[in-house]
Amino acid sequence: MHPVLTCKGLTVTYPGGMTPVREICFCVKPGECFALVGASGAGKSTIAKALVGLHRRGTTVTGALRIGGRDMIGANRSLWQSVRGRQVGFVAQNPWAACDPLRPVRDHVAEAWRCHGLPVSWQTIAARLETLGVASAGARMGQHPHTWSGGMLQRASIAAAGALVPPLLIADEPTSALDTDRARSVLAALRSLDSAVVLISHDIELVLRSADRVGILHDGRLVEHGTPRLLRSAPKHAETRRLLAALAPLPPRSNPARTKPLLRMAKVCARYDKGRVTALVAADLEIGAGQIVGVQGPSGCGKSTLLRLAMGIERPAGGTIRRSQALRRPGAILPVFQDPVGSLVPHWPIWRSICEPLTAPGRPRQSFDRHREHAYAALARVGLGAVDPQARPSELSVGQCQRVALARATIASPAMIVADEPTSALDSPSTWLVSKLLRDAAERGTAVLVVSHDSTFLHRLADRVITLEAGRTLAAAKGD
Amino acid sequence: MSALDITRPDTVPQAVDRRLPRQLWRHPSGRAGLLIGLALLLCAAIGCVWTPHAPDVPNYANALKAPSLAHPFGTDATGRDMLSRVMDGAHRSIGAAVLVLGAVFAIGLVAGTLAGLAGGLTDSVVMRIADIAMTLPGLVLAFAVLGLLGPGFVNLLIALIIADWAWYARLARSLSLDARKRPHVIAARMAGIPRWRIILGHILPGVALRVGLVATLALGGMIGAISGFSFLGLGVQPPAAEWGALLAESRLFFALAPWLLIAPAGFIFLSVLSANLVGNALRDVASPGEA
Repeated sequence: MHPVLTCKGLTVTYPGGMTPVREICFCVKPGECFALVGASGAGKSTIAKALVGLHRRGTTVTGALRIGGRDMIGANRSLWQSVRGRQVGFVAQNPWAACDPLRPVRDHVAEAWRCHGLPVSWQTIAARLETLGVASAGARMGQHPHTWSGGMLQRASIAAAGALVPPLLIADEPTSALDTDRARSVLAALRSLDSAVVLISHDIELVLRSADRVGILHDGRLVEHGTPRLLRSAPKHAETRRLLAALAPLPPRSNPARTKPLLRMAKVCARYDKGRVTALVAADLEIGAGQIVGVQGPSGCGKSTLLRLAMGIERPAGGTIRRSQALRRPGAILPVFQDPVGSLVPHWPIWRSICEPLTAPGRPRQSFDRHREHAYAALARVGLGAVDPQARPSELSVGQCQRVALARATIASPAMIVADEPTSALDSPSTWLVSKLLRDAAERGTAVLVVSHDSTFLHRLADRVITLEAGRTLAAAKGD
Repeated sequence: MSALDITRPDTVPQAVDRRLPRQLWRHPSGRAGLLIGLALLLCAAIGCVWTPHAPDVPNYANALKAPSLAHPFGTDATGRDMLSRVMDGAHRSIGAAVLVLGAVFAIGLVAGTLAGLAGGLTDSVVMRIADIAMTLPGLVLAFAVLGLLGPGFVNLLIALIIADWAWYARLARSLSLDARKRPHVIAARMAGIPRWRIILGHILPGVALRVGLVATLALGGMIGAISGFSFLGLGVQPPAAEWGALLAESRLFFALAPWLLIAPAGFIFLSVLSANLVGNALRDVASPGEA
């Protein structure tokens, strides 16, 4: 069988002379799923764009690139247009960004036929959407993209990419905007088409689970490739081992002694907009010193509201919140945020952000140099001893910033850490490190309340996971 | 909330850090702009203490001379050396623009941040005043104020400040509103840091930096505006030299001595060019990814 995609020595050069992708060689057989995985900045998206001819103007692609038997190096716009859709389909990362918000979903799917001048009926589109798992597609496809969930809209993108049954689909992080369960079902939908798939992702776990072959990208080079089983059992390159480290189990929990709960919320409800919007109906939560409690649920279920209530920056509309004495002093609860770079003061060197909680009134007064020493020690504790403490947040990677934020949250040994989606901006190795640091904090007696849409991460990290749905807590899913 | 936020924070350069000066120097148009600007500043500084000839003393025997080694840009109708006049006027033209922008920056920053952070009545009052100032086009407002105060250099500066401050207040307000919701501000609040320290340490520096950047971008336009008003006789009064006023004087003798226009027009051109080159480079460097 001829491969549907052959890359030999594929090199991409940007107008400035930078080469984000160098000497990539791989081929994809019909029907197979080949995954490219790597940390951020490894050149994943550049490859994706080069494979569908969507690279920026002035970018040069050299080497050999054959799609469906056609040589695409130096192909002009009209050749690419005839190949896209027929020979190769593209699924983008963010389905909302891929759709015009002013047009109904069915138009986006129909576009895949129309741009090649082919007629298509609404029935065909509805049928395609149904087979990909969109329920009552005929009625829903007239709605606008913003009323669809991410998982559904991504299926619509897949339907559009696979409209003309191309032998090859390129999917650039197709599931990173989705939670774990939805990601799994969307990937299944992607594989249900008969096309070969080039799956580009930062999530090594997902890739090892769903791809037939995996290539590891590092610094723009394909450093290793093989079947998931081979990579798992005998990783050769250091980068592979680094990525696989994210799958290692976390250090075991020393069993926390049963303590009096620090925070207890019972039947808490919250409303916004003068009572018109109800964010929480009846949420229960209990957390004690040294415990890790995870909160999961789909977007819009009230996770963040619950967190703000726990932090005390919002008041509930009903129900009771009991805080122990230890939680009432200022600085007892410290937050960790979804946006690691934004959670550090942009114009301060990172060490100053780290030691800020130590400078709150009521803390023992210490000299500037003492604070700095504490901050350096905290940096070393989160594994950033080699980073310049004078660096500004914008000079660090996102994962490093989140570890700095964790250093800040833990430096004053707060009674509780509240983390809102702390890993959603991070790649797998950073996620693992953040989980480990949160574990360490809990071992030192800090209560940790984590909200995330990533249930794998939560179940690995937390002692107990609470599921929120439509503003109500469902049964605890793990542990006591 | 006000009816409309014209200056939105997301249009303002975001990625600003300590590497900025070096990046600016590496940027080709940034370097060119900086070099021209430094040369002009040097010229203005020298002009304050020394000029080749006395800039204000008439010498009628020497009137309307063509450019020569002794008078590189010629002499004007009363025989004053044009180069000396231009050098003497430099600190007024450039200084005035910097002064106006500095004042506008300070007033806008204080008023806008105050309105944004205090909210409520303070916000409404400050922003309604700003809205009034913004309903009139800047030039018309400046003319109106000059009409009230009478022509004169100081009055011109006051008029320009009154015409311009509201835009900066608007910007500072929306930036500080945005900054208040930033994660690092919430983290500091949760850590128990007092409000005044959050404002001074977290919010104000970031807001000031961005508002300052916008003020820098406006430098070229401001030099042009001041020269324009002086050209119309509403700014610097004779015999003091200022580029716009020099241009106005030279224009009268255009048929006899066209070269007189070269020096003032050239200097205005160079200063606007330099400010705009630096401004463009700043935009490139500080907001990468935007075409």
